[in-house]
Amino acid sequence: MWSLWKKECKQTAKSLIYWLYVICLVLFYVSQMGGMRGRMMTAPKEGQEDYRTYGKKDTASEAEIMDYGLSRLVTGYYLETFDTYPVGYVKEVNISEKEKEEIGEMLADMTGEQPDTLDKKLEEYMMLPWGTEEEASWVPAMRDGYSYEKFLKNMGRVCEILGPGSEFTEAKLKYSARTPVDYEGAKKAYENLVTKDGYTGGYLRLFSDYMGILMGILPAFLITSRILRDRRAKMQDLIFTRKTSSAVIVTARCLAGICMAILPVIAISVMPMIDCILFAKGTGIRLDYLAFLKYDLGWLLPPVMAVTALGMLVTELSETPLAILVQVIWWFASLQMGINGMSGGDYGWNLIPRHNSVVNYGGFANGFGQLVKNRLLYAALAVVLTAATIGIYEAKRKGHFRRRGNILFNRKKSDQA
Amino acid sequence: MLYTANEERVRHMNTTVEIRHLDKYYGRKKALSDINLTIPAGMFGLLGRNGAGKTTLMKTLATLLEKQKGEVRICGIPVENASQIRRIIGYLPQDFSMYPNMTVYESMDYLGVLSGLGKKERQKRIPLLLERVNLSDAQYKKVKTLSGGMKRRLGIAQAILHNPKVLIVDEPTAGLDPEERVRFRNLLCEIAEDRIVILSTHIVGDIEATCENIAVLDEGTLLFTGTVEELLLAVKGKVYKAEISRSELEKLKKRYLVTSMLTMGNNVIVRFLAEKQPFEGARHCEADVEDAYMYLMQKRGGKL
Amino acid sequence: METYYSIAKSQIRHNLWQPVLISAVMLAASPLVLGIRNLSPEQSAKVLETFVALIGIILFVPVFYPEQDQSVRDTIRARYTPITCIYLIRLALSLLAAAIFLLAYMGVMKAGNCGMEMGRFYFGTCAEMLFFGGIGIFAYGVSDNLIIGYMAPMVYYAAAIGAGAKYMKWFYPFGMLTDYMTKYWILAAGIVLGAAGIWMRNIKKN
Repeated sequence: MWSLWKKECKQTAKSLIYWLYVICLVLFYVSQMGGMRGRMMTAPKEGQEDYRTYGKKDTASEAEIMDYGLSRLVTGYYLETFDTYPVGYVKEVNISEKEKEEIGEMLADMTGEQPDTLDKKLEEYMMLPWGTEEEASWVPAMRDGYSYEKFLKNMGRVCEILGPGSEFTEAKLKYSARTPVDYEGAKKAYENLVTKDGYTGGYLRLFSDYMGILMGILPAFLITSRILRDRRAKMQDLIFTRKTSSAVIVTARCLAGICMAILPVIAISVMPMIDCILFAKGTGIRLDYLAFLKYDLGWLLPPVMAVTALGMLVTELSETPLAILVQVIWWFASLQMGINGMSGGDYGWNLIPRHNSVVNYGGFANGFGQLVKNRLLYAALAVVLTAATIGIYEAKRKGHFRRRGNILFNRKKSDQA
Repeated sequence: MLYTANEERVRHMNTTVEIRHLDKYYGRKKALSDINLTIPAGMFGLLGRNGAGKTTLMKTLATLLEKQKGEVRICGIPVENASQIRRIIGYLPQDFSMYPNMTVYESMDYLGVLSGLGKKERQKRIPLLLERVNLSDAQYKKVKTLSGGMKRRLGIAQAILHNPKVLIVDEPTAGLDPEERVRFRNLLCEIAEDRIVILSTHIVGDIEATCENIAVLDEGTLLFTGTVEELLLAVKGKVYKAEISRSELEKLKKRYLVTSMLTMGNNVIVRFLAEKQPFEGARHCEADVEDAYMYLMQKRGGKL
Repeated sequence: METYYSIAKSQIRHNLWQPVLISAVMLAASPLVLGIRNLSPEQSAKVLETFVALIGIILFVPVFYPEQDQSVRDTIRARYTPITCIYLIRLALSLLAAAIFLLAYMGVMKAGNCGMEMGRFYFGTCAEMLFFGGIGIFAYGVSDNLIIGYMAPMVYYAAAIGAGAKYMKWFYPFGMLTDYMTKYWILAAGIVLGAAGIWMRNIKKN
């Protein structure tokens, strides 16, 4: 099998599409992270304007959550429509008269205003020009001492009304209500980066975030092209009649596809490592020299495996470029679903988990368990899909699914035979 | 209608293909070198090894490839006037294929449209042609379900659909079974009655059975042009048959060109070429085209 | 004329119905995941530019695919009708399909009370479809590989979303509301690239 794998790798290395792939990876890296060298993360100084680059606080206080939730609810109530994101693209949900009344009562309860006066005050508030809200005579605000549990109950009811993808779940509210860290928080974030992440970890995480976007789509083009090329050269019958088993053929091809796809990524991942090494010279920071392997193999390899395996299966089944369309749809959905969790920690089951930041180690640590499960899922999925492909391949070899028509579509009727 | 007026004109054309000093390069490689040929009406055979340049020459005649030097005229029309040429030629490529999901009839119809035939014309001719190549029963079958022989027959049918003056057929019988091969040859002979049929092949038997005039191509140059008789003259009296023991075979092979061997127990009956009587027991044989071809290949480059 | 009509009919029956069907399904299924009612002009433009325009890739790029097999290609090329004619008919039919699909989709959006200038948005989205299609045709024509033909516009699309207007300037595909001039530029680029792709395909005769 290894000689077959080697041959497959060589074939891929000789193809035009592979080098276009590599060029895409390089260009993408350079455009997103190319300028990092001069702007590496340093320790925060006291009295800075803001510490936004050091991320957001790990969580929000109940008061912050309630304030944020109220402001969002008020806006939606006023416009009579809410934005939800069931699959990432905005889906507007309009509320009915009855629903508006119900929410109005909630608002009245939470702000301490009467329902009718609330509407009038809201009207005035909403009509204020941009930026002057804070000077207004009345601002929608939570009543003092409002119970958090009651608040959550209200939010729960709002979620029911609006359907999936609304922003009023407790988790989402917590996530969105967070404010940027203060000096203490920034210090902690930097400390995490240096001690827990070995400095390189943060940068490789960012690298994985960006490259993950490409890994969720480009390997599909590679594998689809490879398999369809087989058909163009009419190699099917030649390969089918050889003594190599389907399992060996399919596995060798899949492994070759995965290896060739991840190899340039590993090579490029050396770049941020170098940036970090250069930065850390003389600072005494203890770098994690293995960070690139950990992230390349742990974070980026599973989607490469899954995308390659799926591409193989769909192409073998359909014998058309359909796998590309399938992968584009999956890719789109994954990207859109990740939009609300860009700063990291909220990995879920996404093919492309997002963590668009060098810091937020806290989010990473919290989400780590889920991330591991997520990555294992896709690796396992790849194995399952490969097994399915082996089944299909074997069936084709035996003459089923043949679209050349001789078996399936050209049956003689019994009186003609 | 496009065709009836043309058919008049075509009938009065002089039916020859003239090639003068044709050169064709693929990048640096010279695929055809100083080809000079005059092909009259009837069956013309182009014989040569694989890679000799036969397909290149065929494609150049069919306006699918551009020549670098020289002049090519088909029925007086220079090959640069591609659209005019394509009206009067029919081409059957080596690995003929059509869109897999079209039926036989649909393929013929579509190709007919592409040749500029009108609807009535197509409705008249297609059933006749399918009948002639024995594909009438298969006319609603999809192309992808056809056997090799059937595909080839469809290929011929589409090549003569628009009644071309010149038919260019590239290795039409390769891969066909003996029966199909004979049927194909006969069909081509019928078609050649008032047309030029240029047939390229590396199967000597095809030439023998059908062609009067032939050319032999090797590595892009013509080794021979002329009639089959003229070719045979070259090896007249040079073909011998002998029965020898197996141990003597190697020695014989080193000295003479062996064109066939038949093992009978401990002895071998060899057929070989020699300039004069080689030894006792060797007997003269009637030369055939294969012998002549082998002889030519051996001499390589020698003009007759 | 009858020739062109017959070619068109044959193309629709055998080759074009697949991309047309896929585009139709894609558009028809979209309201399940996107909202297309009551969108603001920004949101409408986003849907049109980042989603609907993609059918340009599906409809235009496979223009050379039916003759991918060299032997089929030779048979067709030896005919009187130039093969470029067939390609152009195919593209014209694809354009017609794209125009109809876009009109229908925008009609549905308008009926769902989306705020958009019909004329401007229609032209802008058409330009974008032709642009992505043109990139794909060019990539396919040059590389003789349909997958590369699909990959090139997708990569450009991803780059546009990532890098944005800053790097792409006049050739930024999502400029409906920010810089409408880009629409004219990309329309021209799409046509030029498409023509170049067909030309390259014909040059590489073997």
